[in-house]
Amino acid sequence: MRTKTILTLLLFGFLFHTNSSAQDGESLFSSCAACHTIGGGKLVGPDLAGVLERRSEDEIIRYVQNPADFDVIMMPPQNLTNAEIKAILNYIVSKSPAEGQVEEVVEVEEVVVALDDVKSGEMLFEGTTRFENGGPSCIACHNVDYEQMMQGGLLAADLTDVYSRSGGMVGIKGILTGLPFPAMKSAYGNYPITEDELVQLQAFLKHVDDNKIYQHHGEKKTMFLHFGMIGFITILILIFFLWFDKKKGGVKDDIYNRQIKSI
Amino acid sequence: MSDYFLFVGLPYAALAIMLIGTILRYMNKGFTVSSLSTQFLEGKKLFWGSQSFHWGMMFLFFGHLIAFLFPKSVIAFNGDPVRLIILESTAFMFGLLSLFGIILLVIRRKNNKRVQIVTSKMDKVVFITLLVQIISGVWIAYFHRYGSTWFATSLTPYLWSIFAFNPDISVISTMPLAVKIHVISAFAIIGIIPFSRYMHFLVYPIAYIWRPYQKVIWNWDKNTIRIPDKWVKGVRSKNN
Repeated sequence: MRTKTILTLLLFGFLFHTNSSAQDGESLFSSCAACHTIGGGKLVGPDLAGVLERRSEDEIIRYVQNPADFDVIMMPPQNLTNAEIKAILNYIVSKSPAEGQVEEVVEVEEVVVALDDVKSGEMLFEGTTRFENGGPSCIACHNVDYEQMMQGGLLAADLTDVYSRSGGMVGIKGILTGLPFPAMKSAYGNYPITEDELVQLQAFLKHVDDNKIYQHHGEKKTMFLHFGMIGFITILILIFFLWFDKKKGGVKDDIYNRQIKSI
Repeated sequence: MSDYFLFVGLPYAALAIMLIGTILRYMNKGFTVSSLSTQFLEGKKLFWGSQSFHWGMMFLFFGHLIAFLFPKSVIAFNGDPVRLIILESTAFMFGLLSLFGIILLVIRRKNNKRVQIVTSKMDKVVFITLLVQIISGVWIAYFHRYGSTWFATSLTPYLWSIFAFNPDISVISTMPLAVKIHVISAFAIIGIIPFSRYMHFLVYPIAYIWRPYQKVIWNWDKNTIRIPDKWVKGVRSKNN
């Protein structure tokens, strides 16, 4: 009985143990800043200046906690409480430019990338060269439609048109340095990508986006499946050879079957 | 909130039940710690099912364990695309092997009357959890591929956060459904270890590996025992 009580107490202790603490809007906004500005124009996501004039607070809270409900797939759901989101909104209101103030418009310039950077970026993406700080290669989770490279991972978004989708060089930089996605934060948070590597990846992703219509689709998609199947059959054959002389039934099986048949 | 229940509450509940339950069962009902072999009742399907399932499981279990204990080494190994493909295909191969094995074993349980009779309710739970676990695993390997790297980068920190009593579910709550199912059913399996045949993997007879083999023989001459003159009065055993 005592064991049960202690167990229950322990379990409830763990269940209600949370590690969130009240933080001010400014520090919380740093994770939004990878994709959003306040009055600085569109980045990956929209400019958040004056967002409360466009949407109600309740709607924003529901949106931030689960963007998928609003058919938005680019933004990950944020693990934030209502109070934390309100703190962020207060910060946004305090930072929003006053009514009538002219906003700076960010001009997108034509970007030219060096082919050397493209090649280095490809090697980093694929993993042929490792990231200096030891982060995992991009290909583990992301795929790009680029025939010189093997098929990429399917866990996270396809990055073939990430360049145009997320606002060019600035957007890619925002994501790679701000790490707004929890899975990326856990992968690169302690192993950040260096400045040089960032430039190379940006160049590669732009190159992929520019060249996506020229890609041929070969049979490499199923290579991984085929290897697995071949290996599976090989192991079955090995099992057959190593253990086939094993005893496979009870001594009375024959007698039993004979009798069952005669009934 | 349900994420907190499934990825914080469930793991701790499961681990606590596993730890306390196995100790209590081992101490109080030690002789029931077994997976009750049915080889005696049916052997042929068991051979193919059990061999494939257990070899597959063993490699997958240690694979997951290595990625959990040495994530940096796994990331370094997978750094090269060729090594990544080799590791992924190998793991996928053992996944298929386990799937093949468990399907054979389920069919055997279902169709063989003798095996049916010794099948307990808990055995059915074991089979259902294993099916969910293996199908979701193979699904992840194929449809959310290169799990060997992203497990090390993204799930290992979550698992460590559980063991460090500072659970962080931000990553796991953004993972695809198949990954969530895989994690939940993994903890469910851990939770039912003390109540099921899963118990047997904790008492695996490791001494078999280095124990010299034993050959059981009848130590008498087959011809002489047929001559009535040579018959001797047997000695009744004392322990039976």
